[in-house]
Amino acid sequence: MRRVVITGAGSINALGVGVPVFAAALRASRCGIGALTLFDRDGYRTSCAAQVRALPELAWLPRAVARRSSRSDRFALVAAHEALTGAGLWSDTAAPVAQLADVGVVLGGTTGGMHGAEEYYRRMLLQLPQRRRSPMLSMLVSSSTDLVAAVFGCQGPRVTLSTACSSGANALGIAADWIRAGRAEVVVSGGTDSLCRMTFSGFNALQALDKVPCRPFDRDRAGLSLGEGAAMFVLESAAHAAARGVTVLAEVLGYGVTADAYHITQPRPDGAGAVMAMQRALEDSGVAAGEIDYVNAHGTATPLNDLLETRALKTLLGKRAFAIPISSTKSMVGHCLAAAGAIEALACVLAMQGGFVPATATLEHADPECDLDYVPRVSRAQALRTVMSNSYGFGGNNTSIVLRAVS
Amino acid sequence: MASRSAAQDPERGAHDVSTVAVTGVGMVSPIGVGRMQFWDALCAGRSGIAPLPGAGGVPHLAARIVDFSPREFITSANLRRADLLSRTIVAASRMALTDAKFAAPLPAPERIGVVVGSVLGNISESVQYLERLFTKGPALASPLMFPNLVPNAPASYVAMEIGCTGANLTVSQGEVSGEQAIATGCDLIRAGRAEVVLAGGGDELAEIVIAGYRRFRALSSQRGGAEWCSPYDAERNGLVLGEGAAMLVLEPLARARERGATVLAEIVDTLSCGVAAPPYDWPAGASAAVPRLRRLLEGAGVAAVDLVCGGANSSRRLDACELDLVARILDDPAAATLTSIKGAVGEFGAAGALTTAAACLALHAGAVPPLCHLRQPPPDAVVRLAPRTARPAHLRNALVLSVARGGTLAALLLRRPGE
Repeated sequence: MRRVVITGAGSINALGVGVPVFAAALRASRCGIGALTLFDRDGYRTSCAAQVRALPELAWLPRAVARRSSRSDRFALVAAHEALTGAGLWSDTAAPVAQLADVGVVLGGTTGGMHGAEEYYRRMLLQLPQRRRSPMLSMLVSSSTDLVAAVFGCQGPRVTLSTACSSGANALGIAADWIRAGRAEVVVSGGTDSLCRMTFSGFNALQALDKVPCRPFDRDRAGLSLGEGAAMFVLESAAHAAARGVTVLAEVLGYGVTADAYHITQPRPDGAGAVMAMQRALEDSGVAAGEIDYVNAHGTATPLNDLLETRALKTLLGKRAFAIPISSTKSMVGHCLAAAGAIEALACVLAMQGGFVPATATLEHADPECDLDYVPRVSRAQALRTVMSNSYGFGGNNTSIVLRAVS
Repeated sequence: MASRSAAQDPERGAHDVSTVAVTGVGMVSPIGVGRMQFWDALCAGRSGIAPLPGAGGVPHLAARIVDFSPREFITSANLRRADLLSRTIVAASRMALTDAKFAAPLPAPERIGVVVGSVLGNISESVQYLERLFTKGPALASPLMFPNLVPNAPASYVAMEIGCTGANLTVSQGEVSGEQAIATGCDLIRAGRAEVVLAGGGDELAEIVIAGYRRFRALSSQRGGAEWCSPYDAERNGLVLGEGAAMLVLEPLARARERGATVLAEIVDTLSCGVAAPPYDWPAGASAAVPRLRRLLEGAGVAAVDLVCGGANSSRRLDACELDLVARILDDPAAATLTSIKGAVGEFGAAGALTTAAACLALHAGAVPPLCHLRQPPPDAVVRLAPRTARPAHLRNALVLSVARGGTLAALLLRRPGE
């Protein structure tokens, strides 16, 4: 079996731009959830969201792309640029390296360019003057994937996964499978999503948004906080990375994906789908449950998710569930939907690299039914070797991914 | 490109998984529901394209699904609130499973995967949802409609209806979404992640889709000439929109043989790659893909391709790109026949799933699907174009080939069983 390693990473979310900023904020347990300003907040239960505050100037981005790209596209481009630069495959000043022509791109997306498209539609509907050219083309969820491929000249295999909130995790899984199967040596992979009224109003209508910043696993948790951003990785076959002499950040050991086949929004009460996804991820990784040192939980902070995820972890890990740290970094970056799985995989990589366990930063009051070690409030120094990240999506989609530190 | 590393690993599954068999197809299309209706209509050269009353009473051409009642195919109470696209894809899945004639018991539910491709998903309800949100306010946004707007709603409803709990994925990659879903399904089988996969896709026609294509002047006759749809034709002048869904049952060839299933076609290998394209448009050419496509054929030991099923939709650019590609990847292009089903079913995002189903049926029946509206082959075409009605032919293999706006190319290499 060909091994898959991470040789580059890029990040943008409510905590800031760039991997070093994200790493420092995670360690400091800083919550990036605040006031939503991206669109009119009137009529919603909350104005809380983990919004990206400032999009950096992208001097390297061709103007034709900059003009037509959506907010999700720009998140993806920023993070992919950082990941490819870090992996030594891209330089703003030098000619592109020849290897880029064979690089694959697998992204996870859900809302795509909806933020721009819905505003265009609103203005059409209310007969208001349009601000800009039609954003209908950049609405497609594959737009970010195509733009990343076009801007960086990646002409390897390409696909966009859209499995709601597990999209980013599934994208990483498919990218790893491609490398294992020899379809590509290097794949840019991750997830991107921007806040938009469609999802904000939808979760609002489902009464799934907390009025205050979300509190995963807390007794008083009352729903999620939506977020936005992107995390991108350069995944590479271990042999290819070694031949290039590039620094390896972590290894992708394996993943598992299952369906609840139960309900479009509600998770299965017995958590069987979540347990099976974790089991498959362990089998795929050749790792025993007892080797898992930390779990980055899906931990949306909805009453049901956190309870069922806790139960699923106990079913899988038995007594060990009580012995290892489990946390939800959504307490800091919100629920970034299609980007969530990738952002949380990045949190895992940074935790292993930095020797700390990220906190559930907003957890104040223990819930008697959620009785595991969720690392409340502050991060903790601890060496981690093997970690798992869970991502669950609408429709009953369960994905778990296992990562390992560089020895 | 392909590696057999997973296939050679005996621990990944009980069967040799290097070759994937298509053992069932199901479809809901503008020319018929189910394999028999669809194939008979396609071979007869029938087109589902017809005048549709449009905005302001001006009729325009489109290929709509007709005579389809999803209720016949759906049993689960969980699907009461499912949207029409989801129901259409679920119905196609049911038909495909029936066509695959699994003797009871079915494979274990956790070993059945689902991969659905769709470009716009439930676009009709997305528009309705937004209209309500923007005219009535957030307090009246529909909590019942919202969950149906996620792109993976159809794949989730397929899992609920069939009861399958294996890998469940949704892919979206412009006009190659259907091909990519089927290729991803093959990957799941080869990696040992599923034993049986329902793979395919679908897209629906909505007013906003027509308005979108019209705005970009991509529809037939918008740049002159009469409105019609004739892929590869010298006088083609834009596309006509359609809708539909197709799902295929995939399983390892060895498994299909063991249970005595009828194998419609074998999927030997698949390819996905990028070609340079202007943002959101079809590429002017696809030179970068030529060596990759040649390696796909060489790797499979295919010296001559008998049938190429393209994604051509009667647009100037895409069709020219495909004609050029086919001429350059085949040593003897004149020995191959090129066809596209878009003249019969119109263009819709995941139409590639239906094209792939047609290619499987063509190999099984030994007949070339026609180009039903072809009048004037392009003078410089070196590849033979399919005639206007089906032609019997000994087809050993078929290449499904398509390029999406944005520059993703997808190819599936199919073989007649036993060849």
